[in-house]
Amino acid sequence: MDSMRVFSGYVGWHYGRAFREVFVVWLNVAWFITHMFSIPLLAHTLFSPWKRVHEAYQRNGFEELAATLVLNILSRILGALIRTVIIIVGSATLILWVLCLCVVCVFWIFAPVLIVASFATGFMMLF
Amino acid sequence: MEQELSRFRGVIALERVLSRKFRRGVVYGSFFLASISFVTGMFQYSTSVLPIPARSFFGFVLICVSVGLVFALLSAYWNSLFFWGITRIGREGDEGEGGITYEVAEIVLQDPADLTGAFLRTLYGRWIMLRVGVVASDVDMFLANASRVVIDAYSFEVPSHTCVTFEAIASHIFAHDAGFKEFLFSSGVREDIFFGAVAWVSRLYHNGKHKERWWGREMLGKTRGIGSEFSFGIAFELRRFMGDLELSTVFSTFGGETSFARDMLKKIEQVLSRAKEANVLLVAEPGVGEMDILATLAREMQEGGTVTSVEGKHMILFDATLFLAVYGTKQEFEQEFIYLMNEAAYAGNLVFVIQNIGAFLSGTETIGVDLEELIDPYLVSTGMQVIATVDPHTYHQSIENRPRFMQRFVPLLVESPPFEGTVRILEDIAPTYEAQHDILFTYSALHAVAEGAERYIVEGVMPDKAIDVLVEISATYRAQGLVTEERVHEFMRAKTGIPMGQVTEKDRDILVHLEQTLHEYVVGQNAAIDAISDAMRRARAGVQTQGRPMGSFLFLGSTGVGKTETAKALARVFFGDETRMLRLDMSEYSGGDALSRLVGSAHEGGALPAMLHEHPYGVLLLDEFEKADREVHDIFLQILDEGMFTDGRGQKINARNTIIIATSNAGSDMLFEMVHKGIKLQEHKEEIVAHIIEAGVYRPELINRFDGTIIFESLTKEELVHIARLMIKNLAERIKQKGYVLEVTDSLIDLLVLRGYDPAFGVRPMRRVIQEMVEGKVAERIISGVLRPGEHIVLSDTDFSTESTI
Repeated sequence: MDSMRVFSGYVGWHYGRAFREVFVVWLNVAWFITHMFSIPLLAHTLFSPWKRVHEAYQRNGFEELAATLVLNILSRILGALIRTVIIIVGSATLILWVLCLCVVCVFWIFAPVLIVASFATGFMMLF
Repeated sequence: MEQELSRFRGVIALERVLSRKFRRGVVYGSFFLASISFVTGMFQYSTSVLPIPARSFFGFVLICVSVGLVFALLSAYWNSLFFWGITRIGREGDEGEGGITYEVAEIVLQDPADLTGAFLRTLYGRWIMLRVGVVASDVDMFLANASRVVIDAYSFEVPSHTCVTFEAIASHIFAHDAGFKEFLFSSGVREDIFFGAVAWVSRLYHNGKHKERWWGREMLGKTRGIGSEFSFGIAFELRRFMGDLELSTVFSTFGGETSFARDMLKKIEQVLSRAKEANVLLVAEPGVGEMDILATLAREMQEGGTVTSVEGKHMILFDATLFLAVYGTKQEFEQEFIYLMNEAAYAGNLVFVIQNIGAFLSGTETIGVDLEELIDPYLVSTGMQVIATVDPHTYHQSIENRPRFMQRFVPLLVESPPFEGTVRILEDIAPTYEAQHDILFTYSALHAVAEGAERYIVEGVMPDKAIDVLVEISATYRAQGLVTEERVHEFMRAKTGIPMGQVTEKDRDILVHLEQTLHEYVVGQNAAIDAISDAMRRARAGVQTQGRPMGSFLFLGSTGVGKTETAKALARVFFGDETRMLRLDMSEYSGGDALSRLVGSAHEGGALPAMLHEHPYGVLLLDEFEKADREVHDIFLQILDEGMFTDGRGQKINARNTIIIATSNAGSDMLFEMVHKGIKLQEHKEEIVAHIIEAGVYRPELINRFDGTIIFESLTKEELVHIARLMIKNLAERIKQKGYVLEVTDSLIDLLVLRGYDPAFGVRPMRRVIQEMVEGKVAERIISGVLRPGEHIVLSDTDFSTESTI
């Protein structure tokens, strides 16, 4: 009786509500990846100095001015480079996560068949 | 209901057939075996050293993975319904489905025909009953009662728009099952205690459930983003002086949920969101929980959930003491402080917390640094924000008078949470101590802790002192099982000496016979004794006005009629010891500096706060109250009204655990005259009080503040005989200790009364007569050596026939 209840309940869930559940979990993780890599914020501050390291320009001659300029440009280049790397890693993770959803959806639809097939194949291979 | 239940039938059956623990074990076990098999198969495939072919290992891998997947999918199915509606319970807002939760389905499906029985047999019901202090055997006995009228689950209507938890089931049962309600009341469980316990268990359970759901945004959001760090600077030097701003162990989950903390967090956020001068000055007594509120805010700023303008910012605790110790000279300090501040401002995302800014200011002043001047540009800048804390006394004394400082900061007063807030904090921290000490608090015990700490612990502020009591109780009753309300009362009684909680048999006996007991020490004065006894019974029954002293009386009467003796007797009977009487001679507080000597000044402590500090519970006797200065009378207006006053240092002093007795000879001329005419003073009480007010001794509002004005009658001759016997009895006790037995004849007693009776001075002349006559004669006989130890000393009037009358 209990086994029948579990079976019927599970099948109804697997091909019904479960799709919504999987999608909600997927969305949560996608939100987490965005939050983790702060992609919009990094894009917004792409050319800002690295860790706000910059020097104020002093009127102490051309050499000093040039040195400050070089330092500030370097800081911005470094910042842009690291941010770009993070944005790329973050975006790649997101794309991977989108692909993951597709794979999971396909697997989900065929999961009962795949599991039975896998079990049967394994059993045959065993002996 | 049936439709709601059908959703859960499958998962509840699954839990019955294959428990969660088993499923989890199978999933982990299968994938572990699959991994081992795969590695072994690969090894065999490349070496062929084992007698079993590689394909068999790979076949086993497929079988293990299949089994693991089946159980993983079953767990996903179970989780999907186990967490049904969880996003609507607690902190994640109103999204998600409504209807019944898994726990409700579990309860109802156990026995739909008997909802109360089903509820009480589940883990949730047992847990709630334990929290209200009803043990399982009593619950079983209640359920086993054959005559019990049951209610079915179908009478419970499921609202469509909300999520129904087991709280709703408990509430439904309480409202509809009269037998259950009766059972609770007979077990000593009040309605508010039952619902408080239900809410507590529900919150603990759902908090645990929230934490389990790692895939929810609430849990995922706790991870700090790496990208946001790159947009802000690094404060290298500052890292050396950064302390941890973490929740203290006692406030594990403080804030967030209580409306008290939420309001405070909102206020701080509002100030921090301002365009300029967005700095906060938290004015709080140490222990009120101001640092915990900041720690909660710091966590929310990191995890999201705050207003956008402060989200992602870092709150850091500046270790001012260490900084001052490292840079102890003016030049070093200024140089490094400016460097540090520049660094913090450059970082752009820092909220700088300076704890106890008053001490930091005075510390810098000693090395000649003007911190106010130094920090001002940074307080104005948008690069960083400062949150400083200060206690109210320092705030009034050294911060309020700095206009520029006050302009840069927004002061926010952090007050102690209300009673419910304190209980809520105790609910949150109790599980930590329960786990540590192997005990379990009932909900009413937490109530008693909060109540006892508030009323009877003089030192400290709430909720800190309530937490201290909880921690002490946890250690005291370690491994002793259930900590009930009675145990808390027992602990408080041992700690403070004040009887608390239910009136015990011994207390009942004292209270019922209080008049008789007091009369053992005080002769006559029936009206006074009756009034005091009534007030004491009210105090012990807990029906007296809260927030006032336990009792307050003005004793009026001529000297030597028993006013002080009554106060002493009260201390002895009610507090168990005569030393519990604190005596202040109010004639000493009549000069210009009387008030500062009594309550203290900024530089010197006062007599009254010191007395109450050392002995917060007892009888406070204000002798010759009429002789005190008018300002002193005024402070007593407040003490008698609120049971509290502020001492010279700005500290609140609690006098609520005292019985205040002011004695006074005011109007003695009138009393003397009336006594001479043989008039009963009690019958002319209004007239006497009016005379005293008219004479300007006391103002009417002061007299009205006392719980009772008691007129002490002059002593009659009969009463004096009684007193003389008592005095001789006491003297005989003292002489007995020296090894002699004193016997006094009735004729001598009559003689003593004859010589010692003076209505104007009450018992005092009598005491003198006994000293001079009886004590003198006894001393004379002992010293002359005619007596040997153990011998009787018999005195009669004939022994004094030749002596002159005093």
